Amino acid sequence: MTAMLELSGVSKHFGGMKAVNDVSFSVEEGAIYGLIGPNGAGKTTVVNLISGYLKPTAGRITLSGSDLAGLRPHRLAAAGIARTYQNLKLFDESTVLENVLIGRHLSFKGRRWQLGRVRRREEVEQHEVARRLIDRVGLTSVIDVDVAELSYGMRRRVEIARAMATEPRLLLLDEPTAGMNRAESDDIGRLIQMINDEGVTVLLVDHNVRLVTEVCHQVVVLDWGSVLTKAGPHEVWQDERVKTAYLGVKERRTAETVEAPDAGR
Amino acid sequence: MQQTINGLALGSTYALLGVGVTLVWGVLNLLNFAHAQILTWGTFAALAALRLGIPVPVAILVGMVTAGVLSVLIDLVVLAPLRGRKAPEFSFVVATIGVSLVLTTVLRTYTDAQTEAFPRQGFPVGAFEFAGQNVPRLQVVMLVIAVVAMVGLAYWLNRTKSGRSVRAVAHDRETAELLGVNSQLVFSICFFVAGALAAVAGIFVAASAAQVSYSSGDGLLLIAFAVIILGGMGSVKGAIVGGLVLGVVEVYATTYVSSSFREIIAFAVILAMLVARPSGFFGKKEAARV
Amino acid sequence: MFEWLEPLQLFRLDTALILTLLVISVHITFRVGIMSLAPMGFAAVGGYTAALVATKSELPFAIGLLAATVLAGLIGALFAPPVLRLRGIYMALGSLALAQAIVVLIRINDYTNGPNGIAGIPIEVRTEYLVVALLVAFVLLELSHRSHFGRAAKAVRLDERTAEGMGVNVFRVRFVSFTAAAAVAGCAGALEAHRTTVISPDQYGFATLVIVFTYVLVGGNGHWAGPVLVTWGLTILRDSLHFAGSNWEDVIYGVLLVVILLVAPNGLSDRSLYRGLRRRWRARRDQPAPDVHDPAEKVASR
Repeated sequence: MTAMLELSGVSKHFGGMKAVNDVSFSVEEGAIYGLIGPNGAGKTTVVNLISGYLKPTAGRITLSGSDLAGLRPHRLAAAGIARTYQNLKLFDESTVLENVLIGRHLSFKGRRWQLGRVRRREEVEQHEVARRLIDRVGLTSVIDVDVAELSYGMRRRVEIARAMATEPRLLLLDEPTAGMNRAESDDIGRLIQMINDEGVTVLLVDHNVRLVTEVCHQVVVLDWGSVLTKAGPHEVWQDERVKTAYLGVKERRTAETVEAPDAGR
Repeated sequence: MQQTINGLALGSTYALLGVGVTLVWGVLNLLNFAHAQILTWGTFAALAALRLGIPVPVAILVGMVTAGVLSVLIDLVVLAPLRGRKAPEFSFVVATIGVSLVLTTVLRTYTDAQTEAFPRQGFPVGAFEFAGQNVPRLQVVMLVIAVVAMVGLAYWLNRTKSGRSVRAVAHDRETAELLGVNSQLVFSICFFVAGALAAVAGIFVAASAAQVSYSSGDGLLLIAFAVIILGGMGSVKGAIVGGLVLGVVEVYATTYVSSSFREIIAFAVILAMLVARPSGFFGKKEAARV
Repeated sequence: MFEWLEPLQLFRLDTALILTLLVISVHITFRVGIMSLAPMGFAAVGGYTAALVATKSELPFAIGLLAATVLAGLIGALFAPPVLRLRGIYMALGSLALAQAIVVLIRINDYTNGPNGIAGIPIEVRTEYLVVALLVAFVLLELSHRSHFGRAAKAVRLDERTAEGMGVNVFRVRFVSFTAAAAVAGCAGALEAHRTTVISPDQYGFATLVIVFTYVLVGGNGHWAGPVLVTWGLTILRDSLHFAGSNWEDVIYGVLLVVILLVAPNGLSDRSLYRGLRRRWRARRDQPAPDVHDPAEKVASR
């Protein structure tokens, strides 16, 4: 299996703080990989690095072998990387359709001022593509509604539809199910699998254990900016280090509070 | 050497302007485009006082208070409501431009667009010799006043309770409010101080030129902005240094290059700094650029 | 075609039409989110270029107009890279510095006749030309609005970084808009020079800027028709009220601008202003709102 995405020795330092430290892993083409870790582990930073929002302090990121160094986000989008955002970044004052149409920006071949039939046909085609995408995420009934009026779950889906509109080869999902209940996250899980079935490689960042286990082929675990381990979705939870990273802090803290009353004297 | 002294004298005016503007920027993140008019109104108030026979120092105070009060009023009537509505940054810029237009027009109508003579009696005149150079007294007094004002300001900001409140609000308004600081009062104080300092600068410029008109302050607006960009927006120290440097540069440029370059200097400085180092020499590195 | 109007009315009409062009220029930058204070500088470039071509050479008016537009556009393109890198207040300052620098350069220059300005510019502009020019502009604006460029422009204004993530070349969109706006402003300046026959550096200051900004802010960013209609509406209002002299007009405009900003800081086309109204309207017509809480269709597994 070829690697679609490869990170080699990637680091990102903010002054003295090492948000990402010598991270290396690769994502196979056509797979769904999970990127997990406790809060502050550097997951979103990694996503920002891959999508061009941050420049690595060190290391290399390649897409199908091509180095992505220094490319701006819009060039990376053209190269086939799309993403969603942890904090949901939909365009205000715009409808679902308008948001998804922005995702089609890259596929507009015609020149700006092209008049007449050629242009009109292209507009109609692109509208159709957008409609199909919106249909696939189940939002056809609200296609002309301002996104500000939609529920949280629907807004998440608009973002996914918009990312898919760019026809990516690699889709980065940053906590798409944050704050969702079981039914909603299952829906998203099915959507992710559907997207993957069409050949899109997915890198999923999420805290939802159930989702990650069910949907991912492989899981990369991050802690304190470094890769802890990489394993299959079921094996990874057996790893002692992973358990400590997620749960061990609580145990440590419990031990501390027992000792604390003595500390003051 | 003579030119350097002239430059420093000119620069102290600029520094006074810059300090007021940087104070408002540092605390409110606002550039007041009406500042030049506030300055001019203060100068005219002083002129009116002088015409009534009021002695010079008191007249200066009158001018300062007028400008300060006007400044505070603008904040209370226009800017505070905008803050309350969480308006985007650009609306503040446009709002102060609108206020500036109103003030200009009113003043122009009131003075019939005439240039008024500004009396020099009571102001230090003539020059004295210092190390073989001709040092004009008026400029020296300006310089001294500027230094006193800055020292006073530094003392106030660093050593008094009210000054500390100002710094607290500049640093983090919400937390300061939670700690019991009345941020609107702080804003009003800053606007008053800025207006008063500007009036001093305007009065001395008018005395030096022996005249004043409704548009006297206009050229000074961009100079004030150039000063704080040079010195770093939000830094009082930077405003002082920036003002003095700008004054010296301007004097040298007009003497040795061309006198018509005077007005261009400020723009050139602004453009150059924005390209090279938007945060100025002493300012914090904010996200000025992408 | 417009002979039935009195000369004064005709003059006012022409001035309004030229002002519309300036409003369009500002709109083009505002809709991409560029808050530039430079338009009057570019208008000055256009006005003086046309005036100089007309008074110092034998070239026809069309050449002067073209030169004015192109030169303004070139200067815009030249200064776009540094100016566009700035954000917020720094952009406002940088663009203002650029505009004022242009005006000052004109004022101190002997070739441009310094502060006295240029007089005796031949009147070449007829109302018909202006109408045609505006119609052309409207067509272009509408085409642009409905194109992917127009959508990209709006996205850039709303959220640059996300737009970039979706593949929009943000710099290019802003660069094209800034340059086009500069050219349009230059064209407006040239047309004004040839209509009012006299220009001077002082007319390119805050007064007109405030008026134009008022119209654009009131009209909003949603659609170019907003600022244009506001321009025409307020111009008619202004003329029918017969204010004595321009002094109090300026004051009124300053006040109006401030009031508008207080009422609607995001302009009158901000949809959130009308959300309350829309809900009440729908309730009155008994129209059910689209179901936004339960997704009508679930994602079907295929």
